[in-house]
Amino acid sequence: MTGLRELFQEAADSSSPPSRLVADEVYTAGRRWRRRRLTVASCATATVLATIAVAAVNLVSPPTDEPPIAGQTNPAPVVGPWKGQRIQWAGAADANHLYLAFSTCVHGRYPCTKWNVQVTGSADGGRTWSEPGTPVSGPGLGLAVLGTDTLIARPQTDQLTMPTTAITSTDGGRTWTATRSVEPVEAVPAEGTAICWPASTSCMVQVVDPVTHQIAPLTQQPSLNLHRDEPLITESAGRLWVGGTDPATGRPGVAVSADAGRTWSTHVFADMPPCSPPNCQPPALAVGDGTSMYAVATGERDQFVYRFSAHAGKEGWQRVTGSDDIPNKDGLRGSFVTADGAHVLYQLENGPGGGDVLRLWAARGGGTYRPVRLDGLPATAGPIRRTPDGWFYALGVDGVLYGSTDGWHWSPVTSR
Amino acid sequence: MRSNEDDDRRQFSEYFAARREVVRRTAYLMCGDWHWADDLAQTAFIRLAASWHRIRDPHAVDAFVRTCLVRAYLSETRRVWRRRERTVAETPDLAGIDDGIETATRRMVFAKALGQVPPRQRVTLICRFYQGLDVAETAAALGCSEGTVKSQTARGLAALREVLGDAVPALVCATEEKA
Repeated sequence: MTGLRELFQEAADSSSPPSRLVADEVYTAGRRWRRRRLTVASCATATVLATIAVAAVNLVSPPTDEPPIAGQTNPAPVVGPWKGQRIQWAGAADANHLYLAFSTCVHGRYPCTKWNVQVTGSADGGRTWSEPGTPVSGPGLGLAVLGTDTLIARPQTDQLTMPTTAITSTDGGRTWTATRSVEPVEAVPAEGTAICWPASTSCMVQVVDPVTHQIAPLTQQPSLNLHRDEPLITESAGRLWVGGTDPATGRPGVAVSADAGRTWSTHVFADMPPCSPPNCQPPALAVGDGTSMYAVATGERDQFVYRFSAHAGKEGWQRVTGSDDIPNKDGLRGSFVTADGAHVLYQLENGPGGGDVLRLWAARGGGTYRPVRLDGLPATAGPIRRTPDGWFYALGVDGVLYGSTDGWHWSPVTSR
Repeated sequence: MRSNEDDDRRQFSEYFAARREVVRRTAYLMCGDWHWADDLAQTAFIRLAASWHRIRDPHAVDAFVRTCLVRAYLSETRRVWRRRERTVAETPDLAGIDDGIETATRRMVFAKALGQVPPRQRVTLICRFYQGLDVAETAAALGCSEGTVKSQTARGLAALREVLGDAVPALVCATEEKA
């Protein structure tokens, strides 16, 4: 027989999303709330005494400095984000090391300057979050997570100006240090990370060492025009992968280096129609289980999916024809590979109510893509990203970060 | 002075770390929504932090937080314009990963039934049967008389029985005597 106490216990023990409450923040908010109350109370007392004194001597001149109104209600303090703050960016090194960038706002002062952000980090999967770090600024900040405590950003003064210096943080976004450009290097060292640093119309592969704060271009660059908006270069199965377009034909292609950037081999998807920028975009890459890789290339009218796989000692790219029926629409799009190996394509489309709705299709092993739904992820969310250790995350339009261990079932990591 | 402040902060952090989940889960039972539960727990802990310097007895701290939580919740349920009672659908977070089907079903049925008990009666039941408070302690938390606690408990149990019907037939019988 199940007693009432056990039923309450069972209901309370249901699995919960991580709490966003942090002891230090709550304590500080409580102390602030108390100070405000004391201030209001003392001001109110002073006002009453002053009023009595004024009445006693029958003075009628108005006060020069209006005191707080006695009995005025104080809004309950809120542990951030403050009103007007928004999550501008979310990143993760793995399922435990998560980062959010909020617009910086002083409590009660809004609208915020959206370009100024502060990064807060969690080392325990979103249960607790650090104090927001030093503000950094820029419309196209290019924030990226390089490692468990390491981030990089490229602040810009405006959208038209090239960033001059990368800044890195080795303490999870609390403090930032400008990098120093040094001479080109032949390969990416063990302690370094390859990034794509914006040049005029493309980007250049550079190596950043967050510890020494040095950044250096690779001597040998891929023979493609690279995607300048995506700072991170994909690393999988010991290789560096980067998408770009062929300078001669505009066709999308993928460059791969198996020796840490010393040499690059390039594959251009020759079956795609030639086109000129910006109609032909570099392909978006999605890492699979280490043996497979997907490239989604968008042409002027069509979207093509290619799959890289190795069979019987042979490896290469093959076109996946099962995606031909998927409409090619403008807007956010991308793809990822689920934990069980399915390749999921997604794009935001106009929903019936006017808002954007995430539409998804999935296929396995190069088969035909079928519409799918992701359990627990809101209708408007994205982009969907996967960490190197296989954890998935996405930012919902509701301002909540969602996470998933398999890519199919999602739950909120943060709340608002 | 500074060291007193540091001590207070440290002691508060220790208490917070030890009790956050209990407070949060109690709040969840009240409101049926984890995000709202976080808000309620936050309110209770902020009130506690504001008064931390004058509360030392651990039992008094628990009672203080409980009272803040109960009153914050009941206060919000009265604000029709803000949040009201939200009907929470059968959310996936009701089921634990390792649950058997029977346990998961029972949990969902019970959570749904609890959500249909009026807020004040629900809080009374939570204090009595989840937190294990006696009538006097529950009265202190709710700021009402012991007689009111007894009547609220009886009505709450009746409401639960009415909603649950035959779903969990033995539950109320086992506990009515305690009420």
